[in-house]
Amino acid sequence: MPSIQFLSTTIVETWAGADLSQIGPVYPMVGSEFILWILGLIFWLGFHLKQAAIEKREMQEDENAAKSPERLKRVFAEEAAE
Amino acid sequence: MDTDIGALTVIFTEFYYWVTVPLMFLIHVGFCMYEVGASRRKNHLHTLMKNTMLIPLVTITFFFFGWWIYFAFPNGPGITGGLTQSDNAVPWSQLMGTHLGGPTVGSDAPIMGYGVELGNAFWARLNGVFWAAFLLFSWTAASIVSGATIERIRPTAFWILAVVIGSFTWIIDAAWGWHPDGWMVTQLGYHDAYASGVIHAIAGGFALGVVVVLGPRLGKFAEDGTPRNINPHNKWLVTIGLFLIYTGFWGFYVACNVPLIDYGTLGGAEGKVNFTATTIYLTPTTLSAIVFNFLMSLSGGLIAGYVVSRGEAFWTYSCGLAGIIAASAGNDLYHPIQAMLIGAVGAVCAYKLHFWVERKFKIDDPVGAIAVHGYAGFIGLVIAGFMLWGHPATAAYHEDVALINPLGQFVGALIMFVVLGFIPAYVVSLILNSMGLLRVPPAVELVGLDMSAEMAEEMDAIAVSEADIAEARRLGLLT
Repeated sequence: MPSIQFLSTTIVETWAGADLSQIGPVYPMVGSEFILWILGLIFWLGFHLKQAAIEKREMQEDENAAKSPERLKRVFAEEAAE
Repeated sequence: MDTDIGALTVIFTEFYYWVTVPLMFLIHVGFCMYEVGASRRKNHLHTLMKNTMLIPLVTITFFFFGWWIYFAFPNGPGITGGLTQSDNAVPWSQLMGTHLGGPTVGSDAPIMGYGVELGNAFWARLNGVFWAAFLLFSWTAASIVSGATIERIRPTAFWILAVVIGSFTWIIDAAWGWHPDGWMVTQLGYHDAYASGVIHAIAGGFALGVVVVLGPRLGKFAEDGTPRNINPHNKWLVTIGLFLIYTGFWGFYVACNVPLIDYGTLGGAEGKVNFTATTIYLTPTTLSAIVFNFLMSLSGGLIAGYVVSRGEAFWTYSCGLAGIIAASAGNDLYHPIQAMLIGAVGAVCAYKLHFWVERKFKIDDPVGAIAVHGYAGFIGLVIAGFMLWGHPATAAYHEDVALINPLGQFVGALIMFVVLGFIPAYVVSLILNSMGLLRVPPAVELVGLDMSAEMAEEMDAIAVSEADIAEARRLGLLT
């Protein structure tokens, strides 16, 4: 598919006759490592922020729902049987 | 990789560490089963997911900065020198990816840091498996803390704390005390071959720091302060979980070794080719030594635990673990009978201290993690200082030999348990608590942390039941 070679993401063009001692990284887009690291940090911190917001809302909902005497009685009965 | 022996050494080492990773994965499976078994039915899902999600969070952060800390911090920095060069472990290094060992692309600057004389081929083959072996230690450290906090901590808070210990404080202690050039090793003569302190004492101290701020579970203590037993929900799950932790511990032990290295290159006798396994400190040992001592210290802990707990299953198993942990600091060197006796002493101390601390300070540690890991690990370090007194702590290539000694081990134990364990956990927990993020609301704790999931399942069951009834009516089976 020579017409789309300009879209290639790799620095390895062929394995034929390859001298492995001269081949380093083989992942796509070599040179983008620092940007990938920044994206990774954003992904990680984003999880904590998003999850903290979700958890805050869920805890509030659970707290309201937990004020049901019927549910409390049921939980305590199950706990005693356990 | 350009000679037969060089290639075999590197590829054997690569395979060796790879095998330790799935073995150590069993530790985490065991911790999950153990914690779910120890928690009440109303908290199962919460307990499971809290521990499961530390896997991805500690993994990615250990990639982002944890691995770099290990190679950059052996001098403190600021204690015996500055940051050390660590090109293989910088998160944007080409060696932190799929790499065949050839030259760096896009830069003519030479690679710097540990193992650089062995060339890119060395780190290209070993970086990932070595990283993964350390990462599994990180999971273990965080998972130990998880057990102490069950049934009342908010997941978001726990996951932040898991990253703090899993990708930050424990790997600082590894750089200081579990690295051939770490300042605790070269200056204090600190010796901790299988991580009594660098994993277990720090995790126990960290768990204590969290639990002091978090407080006990509702109902744990009577008004007069008498502790109530909140027994494991499922003893069989606890049993299987602890057996899996024992199994994974084999991988943990072998991952603490370097499997094959020419001792002549480390400062051994000149002109002698002498291949051996070494500890993480590059001091010689054998797999036979650690197999002897692992099993004998496990046995010492189990026997002592059975006696001291009057045959109580939960504590007998836990004391087996405490036995291994107490002997681990010196299990590269002990005689097996010494390992057995040290295991027994560590187990009894952990058991007695757990209940004394519980009564005296109203500390609620549902799975005994602080005792089994923290107290047993601390005591094991101190015992190693006396038992191995005068033995060289440093590798042969160090010109100044540091000797193992009781004071160095005691100071090391304090650094692990208090400085890098208790204090960071206490401070971070106070901050989280002040933001209202640490503990679930009391009403939710009483009704159970799985309430939302249980309600959703009930609604699903009702919907399916109604559909079945409608179908039965359509078929004329019901009127």
